[in-house]
Amino acid sequence: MSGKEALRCAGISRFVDTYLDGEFAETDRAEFEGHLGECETCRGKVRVQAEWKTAIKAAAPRELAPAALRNRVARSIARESKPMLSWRAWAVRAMPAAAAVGLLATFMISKVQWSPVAADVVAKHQKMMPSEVSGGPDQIKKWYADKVDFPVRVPQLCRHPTCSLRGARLSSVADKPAAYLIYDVNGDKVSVFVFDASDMPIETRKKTVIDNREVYFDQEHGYNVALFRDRGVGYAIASDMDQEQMVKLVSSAVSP
Amino acid sequence: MGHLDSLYATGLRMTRDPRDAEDLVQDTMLTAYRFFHRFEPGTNCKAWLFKILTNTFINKYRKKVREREVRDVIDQEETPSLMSEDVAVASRDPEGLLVGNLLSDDVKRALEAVPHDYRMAVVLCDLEDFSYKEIADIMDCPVGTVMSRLHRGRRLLQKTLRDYAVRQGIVKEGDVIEFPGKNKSGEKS
Repeated sequence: MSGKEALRCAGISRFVDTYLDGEFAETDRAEFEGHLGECETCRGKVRVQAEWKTAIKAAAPRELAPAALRNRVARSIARESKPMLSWRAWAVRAMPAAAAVGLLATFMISKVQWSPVAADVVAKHQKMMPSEVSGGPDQIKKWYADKVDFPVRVPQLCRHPTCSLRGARLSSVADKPAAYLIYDVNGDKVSVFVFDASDMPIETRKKTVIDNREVYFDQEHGYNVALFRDRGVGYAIASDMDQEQMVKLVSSAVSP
Repeated sequence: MGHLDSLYATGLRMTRDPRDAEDLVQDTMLTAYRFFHRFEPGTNCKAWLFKILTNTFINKYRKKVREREVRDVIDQEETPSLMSEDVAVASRDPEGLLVGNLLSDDVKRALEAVPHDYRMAVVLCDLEDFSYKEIADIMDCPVGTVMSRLHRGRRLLQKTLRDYAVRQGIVKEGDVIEFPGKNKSGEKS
């Protein structure tokens, strides 16, 4: 084999995989096959790699999904498609005043704006992130004291025994430090982010007024997000509840 | 639920643990159900599901699997080179003794020995028949990276299987020689 030919083989044999995977453009394939026609060495390489590819596919075990998994998936999807009756039941019983405020509130279209907050908090809400601290609101507020430069007032979401504050961790909203409080409301995860809102736009198209406070709503990836300010501090609440339920949740968070 | 078997088999190769694989597939299916409105009709549904599977794995399970497999080096590994001698070396199986005698258990074990990103490229291409473009989308990386991961992954897989075969006396050490040197492949010895 001449030096030139050897160089050509070296260049070409890098693409044995690409050729066998059928990923070459027509012209490249023609050139590759042209070389194979003249070169026994490269033909051999292609043959052996083709054998490997076939043999590995043939020998790799094909595990089938267990029947229990199939049932589990079917059950959880069926559960998902049912409305959350229990939440409605307790909300109507336990929070008539708050509910009334929520239901009477009308949505207004404010100037069209986009807030970077909603997408960010939903992305974080979707992830399972461990708590760094747990305990009562006072304990958690204290834990944040030397970690962020704004007061973390823990919103009173829990006015019902089936709601609990699971824990909290340090996080961020649109690249600025934030407190991330994780609640469990009737078995559903609710994420509350507290952040310095002094120069963070939280306004969105959907605005409502709850207890004299402007609250903005947004939707991202099928999750609802409620945004509001309190004494310069921003709050973003994300959950997969519907808007009506979110209004009730927010009204319990903002009422004194 | 037509792709459940494929999702489960791939989930097993990601997590290497049947219980984690079941949880991973369950999470994947639920996420897919919730975001089904985002699926673009006419595009590949299986590829869409595999992308969700991969993202769910990275977000929720990768840390756990990493902790379990302390010796695994997933990201530290340098980008594999596309050296021509890798192909040449892995190609030497003069009698077809090696590829003709692959055992299912050996392939499973050898696949598990390949670092995660390389293993997934091989699984998605050779076992699940995705195109380079689809794999790039699923693994969220450029097509060039898919090609180098595939190349490296296949060679590592072949080398591991060759080592098994030598140990089992199916092929002799001399039959297949000059595999990529350990210094070059970045493997831990």
